[in-house]
Amino acid sequence: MAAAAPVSIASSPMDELDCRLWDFAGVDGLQTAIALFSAAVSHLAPFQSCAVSLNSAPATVLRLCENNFRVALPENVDFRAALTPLPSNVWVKPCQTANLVLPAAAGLERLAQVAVTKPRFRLSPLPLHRAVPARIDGTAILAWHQLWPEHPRLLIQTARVDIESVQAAFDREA
Amino acid sequence: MQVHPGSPPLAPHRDVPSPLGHVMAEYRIAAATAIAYRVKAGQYIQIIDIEGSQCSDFLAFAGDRHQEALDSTVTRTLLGQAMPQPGGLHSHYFSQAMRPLVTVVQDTCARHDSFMLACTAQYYEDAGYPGHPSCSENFNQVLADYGIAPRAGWPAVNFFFNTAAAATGEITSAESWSRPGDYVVLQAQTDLLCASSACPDDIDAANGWRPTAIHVRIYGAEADLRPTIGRRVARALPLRLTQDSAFTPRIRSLTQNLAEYSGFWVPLSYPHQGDQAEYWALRQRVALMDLSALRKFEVSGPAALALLQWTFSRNLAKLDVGQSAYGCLLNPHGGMIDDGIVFRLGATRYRYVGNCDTDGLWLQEVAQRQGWAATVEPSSHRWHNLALQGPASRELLRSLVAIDAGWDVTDLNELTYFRFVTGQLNDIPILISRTGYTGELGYELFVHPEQGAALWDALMQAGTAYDLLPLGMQALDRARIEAGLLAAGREFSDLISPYQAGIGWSVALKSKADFIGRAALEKLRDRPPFVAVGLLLEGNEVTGGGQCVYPVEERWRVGHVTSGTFSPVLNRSIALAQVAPEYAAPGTVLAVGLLDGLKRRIPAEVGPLSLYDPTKSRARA
Repeated sequence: MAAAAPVSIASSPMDELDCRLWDFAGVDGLQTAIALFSAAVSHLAPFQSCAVSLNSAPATVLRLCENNFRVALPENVDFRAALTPLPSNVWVKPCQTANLVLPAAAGLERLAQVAVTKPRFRLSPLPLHRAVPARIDGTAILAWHQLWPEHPRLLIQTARVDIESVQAAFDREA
Repeated sequence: MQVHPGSPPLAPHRDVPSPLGHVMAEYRIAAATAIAYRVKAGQYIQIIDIEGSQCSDFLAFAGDRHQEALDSTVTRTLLGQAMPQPGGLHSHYFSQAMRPLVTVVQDTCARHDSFMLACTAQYYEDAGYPGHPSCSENFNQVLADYGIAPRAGWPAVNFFFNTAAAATGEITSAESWSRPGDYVVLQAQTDLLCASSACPDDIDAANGWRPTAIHVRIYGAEADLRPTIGRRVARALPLRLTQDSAFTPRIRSLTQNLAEYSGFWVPLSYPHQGDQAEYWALRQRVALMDLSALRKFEVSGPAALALLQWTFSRNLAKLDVGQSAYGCLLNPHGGMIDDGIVFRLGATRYRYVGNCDTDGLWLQEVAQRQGWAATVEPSSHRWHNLALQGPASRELLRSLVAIDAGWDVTDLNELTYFRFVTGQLNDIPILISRTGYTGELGYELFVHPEQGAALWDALMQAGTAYDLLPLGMQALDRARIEAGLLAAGREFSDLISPYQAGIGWSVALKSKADFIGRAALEKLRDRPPFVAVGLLLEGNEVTGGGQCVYPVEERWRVGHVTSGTFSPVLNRSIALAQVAPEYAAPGTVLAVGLLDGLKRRIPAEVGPLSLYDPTKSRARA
């Protein structure tokens, strides 16, 4: 078998993420997402996302479960304020993961080399607006092929304590 | 007798089923003893209950010091179910470190225990049998050679041990369900030290009061054993092993999220789609699903019509060739044996399509009992079927299908609801039926299995122009609940009449002479104990089925939920329920008890059984 070609990855550490990620969930999670964004959100299955807008600001919303969502918003948008008028039973908090931003094509190629996922998911292909929970050397990540704000990119999310090892996995020569 | 690893068998064993492949080692575990044995990663372990009703507890250890033990609690937690099952994504037993140690590949019993310890000395002591052998003590003895410390009780996987956890928390046990020759096949995911017992319990019914031997075989990885689950549905029918349909290889190339359904491997959903996307493809465009698990029976002969008139709820006397009718098979007390569709193929030829192998047995039995000249021949092996459903299904099919000469219709546009024709799709002979299980315009296409893959490919290829998606069972369940379509075991059973299940309209009391169940149904018609309704729930919580339904602010029940889902198209939590007739009027507000039925009650408005398109205008379009 031929050795995998090296992939040049310019990864951005978490503090350079040019958006803010918010999580919200609860029994009214789907209805809240529909009210905030559009009915198109109800067409999403778990681990699917779509580009939306919130008060004219660009946004990307990822469905994680029936009533669980993650939203990427510009840093200056107060997501809690947008939720306040809604009579919904959901919690909202900033997403606590550490994040790596990778160029889409090279990142997806490298992801397929370094990560494994459960049989029900697929890392290759990982189309735009799809996410997959996976592991790199046993460390849990969420790989999200997202559009932000208008360009595709691969966002790798992991626990803060694991960010260096995950980044190293992407940076080391294949 | 304990045979150590590597030893050849002492004699050929004629009391166990034929080997599944080349046997690398085999062990006979004498009654009331245990053995330890090693397997390599990839090898298969077949644990056989030789005489039936005999439990065999199982342990597995990984690691160079055997430090990583199989753990049922980890397994239950990771799987979200009591026991792994062959096939699909829920087939592993995990270690304490959450690594898969073994995979269940085949299981002909499908009733085991993962909650209890292997039997312990204390169990027998407390029952007045001090000194009685136990699986745990037997394990301690055989594991001592490997440096494994003894335990008072081993948390084993107890194969063939028949236990059940009740909703009240009580764990009951009774005689094993296993028959002579039943077996479980595991595949080692890593190098393992294993231990298996032939349980010595003779003081209760667990082993049928008579402990017997267990047989273990080891096969190499090259045996490549396919996942199967054995099901028994009738005493007169052999064990049925899960099978692929003609379309399953194509489906497996798209998803590994399959589960056993009615003897077939069926997809639950597809990666990067999910059931929501599949559902919307169905409601807005077109979706393709494999419904080959339906059972087909050819009913023919001079008395074929008489047989069906006697057993089936509908009046088929005026059914034309090329026409079909939905209804149910009835038992003498008016219960639904099964629901299904009768197709009239010729003057004295009919096809019954239902859910159960036992449907054919029943029809044969009635024909014999009545002395009627009618034959009933199972034909499921000759007919596998896809459903192409959705508003674009007709347009998609029209360009592909050439209808055979001799039918009244020449264009698919003319094929009306519950009519069928034969024809060719890319030169593939098919029967096209204007029926479905989704509440949408749609067709069911029956094909010989040899040409199933070609049919799948042709439809998937043509479907790209319509953004067709293959659809799994999860999306199908949402759609059929919205459409008020019945599922066996949920909305009906042989204890539930068609009047209760919501298809009283299918009982031809007025137009048909006597038939099975008529006398009971005449009484049930006027006041069935419950009637089927749709419920629109307030709020977004989803009921899973089984919840009780109450009048608002009352303590007593008036019915129960049979199925529930979140309806994307209605953007509501909905349910199918069966409630007392006094509470079934549309608009009545009832309460669904969630959790323990007291903590939260959700108001729910009674609606039609089919909450989505109640007039079936879309399916009839």
